[in-house]
Amino acid sequence: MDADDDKENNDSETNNNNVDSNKPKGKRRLYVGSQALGFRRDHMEVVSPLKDGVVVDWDIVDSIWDHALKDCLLVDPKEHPMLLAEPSSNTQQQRERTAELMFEKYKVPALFLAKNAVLTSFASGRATSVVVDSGGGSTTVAPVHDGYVLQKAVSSSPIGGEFLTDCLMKSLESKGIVIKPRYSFKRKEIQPGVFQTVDVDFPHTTESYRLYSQRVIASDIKECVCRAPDTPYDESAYSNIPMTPYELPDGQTIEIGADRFKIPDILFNPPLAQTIPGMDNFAEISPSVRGLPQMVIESINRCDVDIRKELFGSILLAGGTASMQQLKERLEKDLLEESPQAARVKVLASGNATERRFSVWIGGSILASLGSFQQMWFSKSEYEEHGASYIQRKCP
Amino acid sequence: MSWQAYVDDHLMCEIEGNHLSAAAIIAHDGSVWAQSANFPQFKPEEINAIMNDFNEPGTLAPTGLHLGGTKYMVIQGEAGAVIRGKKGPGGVTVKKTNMALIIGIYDEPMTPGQCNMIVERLGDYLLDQGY
Repeated sequence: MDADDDKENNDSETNNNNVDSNKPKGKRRLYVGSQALGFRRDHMEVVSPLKDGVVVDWDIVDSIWDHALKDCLLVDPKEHPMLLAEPSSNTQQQRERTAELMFEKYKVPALFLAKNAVLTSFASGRATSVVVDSGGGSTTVAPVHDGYVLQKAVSSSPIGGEFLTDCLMKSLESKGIVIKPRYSFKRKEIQPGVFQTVDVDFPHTTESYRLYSQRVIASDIKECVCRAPDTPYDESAYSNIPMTPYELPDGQTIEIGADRFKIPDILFNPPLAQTIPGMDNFAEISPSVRGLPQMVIESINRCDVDIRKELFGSILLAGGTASMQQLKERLEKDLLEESPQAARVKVLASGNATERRFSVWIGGSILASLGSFQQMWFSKSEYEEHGASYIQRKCP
Repeated sequence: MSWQAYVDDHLMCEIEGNHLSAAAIIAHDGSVWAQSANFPQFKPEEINAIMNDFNEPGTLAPTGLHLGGTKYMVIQGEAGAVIRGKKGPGGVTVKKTNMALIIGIYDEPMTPGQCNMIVERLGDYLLDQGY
């Protein structure tokens, strides 16, 4: 009896998988997980194993998997075939390294690497669609046909949730609003209902942790307050809109006006980020970053002419950033304007925000439970016979 | 060992209860070294297009891979070595060696992984032998 275990390789999408390291005497001690992140320790740095979507530090990935399997799920990997979700444009080397790590260290009985876009497509019950996956680290547009990603048509951009959070932070800083990290103050109740904020100083807190704590707060502001505008953002049109109040953890109430609409519009119009003071270095980083509708159109145009119509009719939204309010409507509207006349454009997103965020995992659990999938696993004996490079053939 | 024997014994063999629906070994210029009985009639332009894609990966993706009049959707292969195409539940794998192209066409219930294994295994062997 196979108890299939699905593991989500979504480090770039949620901050929960960032790892903290304490560096006493040159040896690195790693703390993993959201609980560990929430507790402030002296000299603790926040590090991520990924750089531009590619794994650079395999020790950290190893410790994250260890933490997930042994501490959180409490399973023995030897007993469970492992279905790993990987980015749609993963390199050969990364896949081989993953296979090696899984078979050698965790001794899994069988492995399969499935692409994120395919799993999201299955989660919505479709074999053919264009998956727009907008997560924390990046946004990827990948067309899927009959359950396989059309590799050459995948396009990706570095603008994701974290980038938008940074823009919001810089924008608030330029207006003089200081976001105090949660650990840096204590609130005392001096009279019933009246709180006084006292600053607490921790001189040994690292810069990366402070930045991380501020990002958590800015991220919450973004999720609560930001909405995708119905029309492209225009400074003059939005200068008079009513401000929305937001209460920061330290009791300070801030008013957010035009930024509510400006930040989400960066997804559609990346050069807008340059107008935010502090983000001017964006121009050097990526001169050719395109907006979301352009990426979708470009991706579909790189596909076979025959399937384009079908692709336009099923565009799926996935990922944390895709849960932003009104994003679906705005994307549909923009695509209708730019797509060829005969095409019927339909953007779909599951109603539940949690489902959107974890659609890859849901698709993985559907795939792993299919009877017809059981013969596709890459088994341990095949790994021992042929080596890690066989993963390319077994998991196309 | 004759080329036909390679096709009959090593390409059209059984793997986990399934076998390819058609296979062939073809030279880079399109001349046939050996093929299975039901291998579709292909055109020289189709072979040229495949060779172009091996030399410059990415050219076949927008138009699709054509073989014997059937159109396959290009999915992830290995640049300069393997082209994989899908058509519904079946598809094709093309492996390039120094002098030849090994082509395997499969249909359900065979999986793409199994087809890849057969075609690429023979390809690696021929590469070792110098072909």
